[in-house]
This record gives sequence, C-alpha cells and structure tokens, in this order.
Amino acid sequence: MDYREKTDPELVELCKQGNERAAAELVHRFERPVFSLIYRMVRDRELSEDLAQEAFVRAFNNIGRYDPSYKFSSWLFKIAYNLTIDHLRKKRLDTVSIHGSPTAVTSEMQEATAITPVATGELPDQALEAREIGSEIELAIGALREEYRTAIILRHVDGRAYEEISQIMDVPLGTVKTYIHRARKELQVHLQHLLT
Amino acid sequence: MTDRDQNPDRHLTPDEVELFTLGLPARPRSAETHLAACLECRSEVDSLQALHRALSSLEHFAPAPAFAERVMARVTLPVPWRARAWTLARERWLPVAAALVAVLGAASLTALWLGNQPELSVGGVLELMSREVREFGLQVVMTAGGLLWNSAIVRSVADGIVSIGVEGAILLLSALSLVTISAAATMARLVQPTPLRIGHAGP
Repeated sequence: MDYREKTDPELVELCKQGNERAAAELVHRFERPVFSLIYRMVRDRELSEDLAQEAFVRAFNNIGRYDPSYKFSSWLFKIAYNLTIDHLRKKRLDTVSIHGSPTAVTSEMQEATAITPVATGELPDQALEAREIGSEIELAIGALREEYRTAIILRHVDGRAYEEISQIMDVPLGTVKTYIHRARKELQVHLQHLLT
Repeated sequence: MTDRDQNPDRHLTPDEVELFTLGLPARPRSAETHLAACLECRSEVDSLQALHRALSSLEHFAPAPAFAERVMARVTLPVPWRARAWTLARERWLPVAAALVAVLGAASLTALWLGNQPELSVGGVLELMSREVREFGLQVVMTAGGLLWNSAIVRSVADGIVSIGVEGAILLLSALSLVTISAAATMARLVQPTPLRIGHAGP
C-alpha cells in the first residue's frame, strides 16, 4: 500500500484503526509547515522542534476526538498554534516581546514597553538560526505582533483561506482580515525599499 | 446599483485591493475603472503585489532529520479490539499454544481409551454423556432455585409483593426497568468518545 497516494481523510481513518504508517505519512506531510509556523513564532530551532513534536503527539493521541467535518491540517495547526501561544504567554514574563507589552494598546505604550535587541556572541546553532530567519523579510515578520505574524504566515506562506485561519486562531473572520490588513501595512512600511 | 457604481471616485476597499493583488476574477468593472484613474490605489495594489510575491517566495523550514521517527516513538494510536486480540495472541503465544496442546492431548487420550473398550460402542458413550449432562443441569437448576427461595432478598421481595399487591409490583418493576435503561444509555454515551470541535480549545 502506497501511503503517499492517500488523501488526508483516508490517512486519518487508517490512524483511527491504529495504523502507524498512516500516522507517519501525515507527519512527513505536515512536519515542514507546522515546524515553520512555530519556528517563525518562537525563533528558536530546538524549542520549535519540541513544540512541533508535542503538537503531532497530541493530535495523534487524541485522534479519536478529531471531528472529520474539519480539515485535519486545520486541527493540527490549531493544536500547534495553541501550544505555541501558551508557551509564549508563559515565557512572556521572562522575555519581554521586542515589540512591546501585549497589553499596550497605543503605539506610544508599545514603544515605551518595547526592547531593542542587541548583538551578542552567537553560538553555532544560533548562527544557523540567524541565517535562516535573518533575511529582511523574516526579520520584518518577526517584528510583527504574534497574532499578525500567525495570520500573515498562514495566509501568504501557507496559502490558507481566511475561514481556515479563523478556525486555527479561533477568532472571527473579520478579526483575521483586520490582522492581515494591519500586518501587511506594517510589512509595507518595514520593507518599503524592497517593494518599490 | 452598488456603492461603487454610485461613487466611482471612492478609493478601493481592502477587499477590492486584495482581489486585484491576487488577480482574482469577479472584480467590479467600476473598480477597474477607478484603479486605472487613481494613482494612489494603483500604487497600493502594486505595493501589495510586491509584498505578496516576497512572502510567497519564503520557504518552509525543515526540522532536524528523523523528526517523524521521534514523533512516532511517542505516539499511541487507538487500537481496535481485533488488532488487540491478535497482538495478545502474538505476545502470549506460549500459554495459548500450551492450552491448545493440552486440549488436543486430552482428546487424543480419551479417543485412545475409548478405542480400547470393546464393550462400549460410540452410541453407548454418547447416550451416557447426554444422561450425565442432563442430570448435572437439573441439579444446578434445583440448587440455584432452592438457594434463591431461601435467600432473605427473595423472601422480602415476596413479602413486598404481598403487601403492595400485584399492580403495585408491576408498577415498581416498570419504574426499575426505566431507571436501568436510562443508566445504560447514559453509560453508553459516556463511553462513546466526543468529537473535538475545532472551534474549541485543542487537546
């Protein structure tokens, strides 16, 4: 049986019957997009691997609770997104977001609570990460607020529909549109010299 | 008549800009007319198209090699009962095989012994066995019946029926049956896994 030719719903059905090869095929199919989303959110390769792994494990260990009327990938991304957001919220006290406090509602408050990253001696792993996410576009995405960042990545890098993004982020469709619109505006400002 | 038709000078909405950026069909003709004439909206669409191209060019990052193997080492998929029974038989083949050998051995020895008893025909043995089984069954039923009749519970039930009358007893039994059926239905619902709605928090 060639599992690569099977559709996502077929593989999920096989997983529900305890078929581990079907589960492994789903991991191969989604490891890159799930890992990339998390990596672009937390910007730490090792931590991203741990969170991505946890997302897959939770998805498969709870496969009996999956509602097949939704896309499997949306469900998986939702778990990954929730895990990442939970982690970032827990870490927030230790590592203040570079774009200011999440409770800051005005640009002045954001500026007042923001921190400026300074260059430090990089370890080999950090150098690799810096190369990967160090391009101007990646840096500009990294400077966005978490919600904007997630929405813009899901929309433009993964090509997901607004409705799907709304399900993954658990926010209304209008909010997703607002996130993406604002994210684009910020990116246009940051990348103005590249886009003209 | 749309809002756009009524006011062709109005700038494009974000949704309209997106339609042009992505080159999607179903763009209002009046919006196209506006775009051709409005430098501001043209510049907005161009800038967004460039941003869209830049973002689309970003690639997915790959996790470290053997990521799938590490995930699968921690995954416990649900196992249906048939697969579970097969696994059990595979994992505990020694006791299963021993039991099979014991049964086959006992059957062979019995057949051998019967073959060496010329006074016993096959029909005679079967008749003997059927009589023994009948007597044993009858004894079981009699013993169980006697035990039940002598038990305090049966006595109190019988006394209860006498005191509340036959109609009362039927009513009581019906109510008890309803309670039992409801309890069974509730248990069945609890045992059934609830599908996880995507709108709710993940596991």
